[in-house]
Amino acid sequence: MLRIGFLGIAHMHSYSYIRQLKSLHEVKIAGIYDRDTIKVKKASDKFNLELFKDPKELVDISDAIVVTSENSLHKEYSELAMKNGKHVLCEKPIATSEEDAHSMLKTAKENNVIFQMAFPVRYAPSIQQAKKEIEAGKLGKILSITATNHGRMPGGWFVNKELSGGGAVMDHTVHVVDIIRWLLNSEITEVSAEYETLIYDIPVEDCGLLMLKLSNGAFMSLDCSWSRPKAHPYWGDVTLHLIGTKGSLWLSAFNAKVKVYSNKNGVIWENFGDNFDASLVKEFINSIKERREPLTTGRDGLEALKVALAAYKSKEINEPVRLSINKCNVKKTKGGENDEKE
Amino acid sequence: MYVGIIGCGMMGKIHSKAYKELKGINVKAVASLSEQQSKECAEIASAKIASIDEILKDEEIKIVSICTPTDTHKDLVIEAAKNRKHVFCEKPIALSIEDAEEMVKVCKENDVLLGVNHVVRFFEAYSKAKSLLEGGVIGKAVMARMYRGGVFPNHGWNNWFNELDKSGGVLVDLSIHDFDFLRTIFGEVESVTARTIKKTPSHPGENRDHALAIIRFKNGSLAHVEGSWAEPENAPSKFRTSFEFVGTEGMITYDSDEDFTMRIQTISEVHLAFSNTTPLGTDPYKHHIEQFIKAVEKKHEVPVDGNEAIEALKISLAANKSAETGKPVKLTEVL
Ligand SMILES: NC(=O)c1ccc[n+]([C@@H]2O[C@H](COP(=O)([O-])OP(=O)(O)OC[C@H]3O[C@@H](n4cnc5c(N)ncnc54)[C@H](O)[C@@H]3O)[C@@H](O)[C@H]2O)c1
Repeated sequence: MLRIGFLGIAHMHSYSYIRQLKSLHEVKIAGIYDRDTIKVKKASDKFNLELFKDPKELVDISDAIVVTSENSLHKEYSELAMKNGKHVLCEKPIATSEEDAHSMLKTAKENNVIFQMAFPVRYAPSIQQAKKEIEAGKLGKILSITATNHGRMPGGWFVNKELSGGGAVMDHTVHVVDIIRWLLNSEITEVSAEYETLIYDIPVEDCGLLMLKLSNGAFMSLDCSWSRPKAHPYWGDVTLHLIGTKGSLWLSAFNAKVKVYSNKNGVIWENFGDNFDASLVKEFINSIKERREPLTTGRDGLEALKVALAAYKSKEINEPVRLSINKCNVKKTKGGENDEKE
Repeated sequence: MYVGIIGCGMMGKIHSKAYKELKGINVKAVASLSEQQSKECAEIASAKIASIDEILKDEEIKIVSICTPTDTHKDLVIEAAKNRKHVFCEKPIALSIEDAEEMVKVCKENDVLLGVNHVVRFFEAYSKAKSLLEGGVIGKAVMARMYRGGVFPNHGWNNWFNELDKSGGVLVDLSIHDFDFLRTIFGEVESVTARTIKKTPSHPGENRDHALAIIRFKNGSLAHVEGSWAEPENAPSKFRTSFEFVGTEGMITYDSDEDFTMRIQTISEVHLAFSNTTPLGTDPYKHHIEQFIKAVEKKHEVPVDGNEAIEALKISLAANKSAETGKPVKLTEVL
């Protein structure tokens, strides 16, 4: 039996991870902690979980920790767990600064624990399938990528820069950057960005458009805006449009939907696709059991964060920002024509 | 009123049909470099086949439609203007701002009107969205995503779309429609960041352009424009357009591959194997031309004049420049 504790339940994904973990019989949720006593009480009542007042106490009785706190607290909670020899599944983005992220990677290594990033979209069946199609050479060499990760404006601590590290750019850049790095075995080498607070009266940006260059030579745009209105029948999307030398691919990861027109609830899209979070937490459990690297690592978290931070910098200096790539970052699978050119 | 049409390919036919359906308008003559195409247009418009010179020297002809490859627009428009013809020219107005400005100048000097066929403004889905935006249903529009493209247009006379110095590539030929439309929503553009393929490795030496552009407007709004000739030739859907407008109070979207009224699938080798269409009682080309004719009759402003066409072209050229330099390009840098 694997005992899992939750440090921070500020991120809405914590509820989903709790649900998914509860459904696995080899797992027991050891308890939850959050510095917000009201929030934590609500979750503990809802899921009938033990509530801890001291994070260290929870770490001590757990085998592994899920960190779903506010972004700026990821480092503190992850390292608390790691230093006590506990494995960590950390919500994205890994942290709000590169220094924090580096420190987390180092701590995980020194303590020989598994450090997984919660990048659920990489576990999406259509993304997994896309990887196979690309590696089978159906698209040839990928030249251009148009991507979106739209969502609703989450409000709360997400719009507090101290806690979140930024708005839509920080929140929604990392998912797509992660899947593209993986799909194409490539790193992002250059970032330009335009972003603005256009829709809501909030202190962080709600709209963003990034233009990226990849180490395999392709270019990519990414719309990371919190631009889905409340009236939209679904919370958001992850879409990709790849143009290759031999074909194109269009993908909308959450589009397995039935459309519901309800007099009571209005128009709603209900998803019938697999739950990505289920695969994500299973990977955490399996990598602990098998003592191996998870599919989405802390290193992946760092590389994605670099792109989000570069986006902010690029707007500040009004110039594209170059990222130096460390060759060993690019995990080698058989990428065929899309492998990075030496 | 008598009209002449120069260029009898895809657009020449569309103009012929539009004029033919307008009351009081007669296409007197058509000209092109292809006998076959001239014949087809002459038939559609019930006109005679003539030479360009005959059209330009014909005193009865008041309006000339220019439906030729883009690199020929400048000379033909200037010749027509010097012969005192009002000119309805296909978009893009020209391939450079210098050429376009000269065209506008010569038309003005000769006291003739110049209209440019930025027809997307008259497409029902687009004009519907514009009037909804103006009505405020989604609050203030602040952001947009536009897509226009599909397979490479291989119908061109001598395959002129394939030559970058004739077509200008996808940002100049195709995305200019979206640039023009976005101007009518958000106003003037501040800067553009773009990337483009121009010649894909799969078609060495050929123009299978695919482009992405991020636009910042002077009023702070942002837009993403994607234009493509890079979809595989055998793709079932040959051409698609879509838009998404985000406002402070909601969103308006359209996708021609989702929002249509008729699909045809056939085993025919002559006709398209697959097509999605939305037949409508109105023809946007006819609508635009009708307004231009009203302008000639002094009953209306020119719907899209040369100066507006120049502004749209500036966005295309700024995008191409950004794709070259890798940097954001201010519109003021495009001369
Ligand atoms: N508004 C739109 O929706 C739209 C759509 C497609 C094309 N266009 C534009 O319309 C123009 C024509 O495009 P098309 O698709 O009809 O091309 P096309 O190749 O089908 O037709 C070109 C015609 O021009 C003739 N021609 C070529 N050079 C000539 C010359 N020097 N003098 C006289 N005739 C000449 C050819 O014989 C042919 O009949 C282009 O500028 C294009 O960008 C506009």
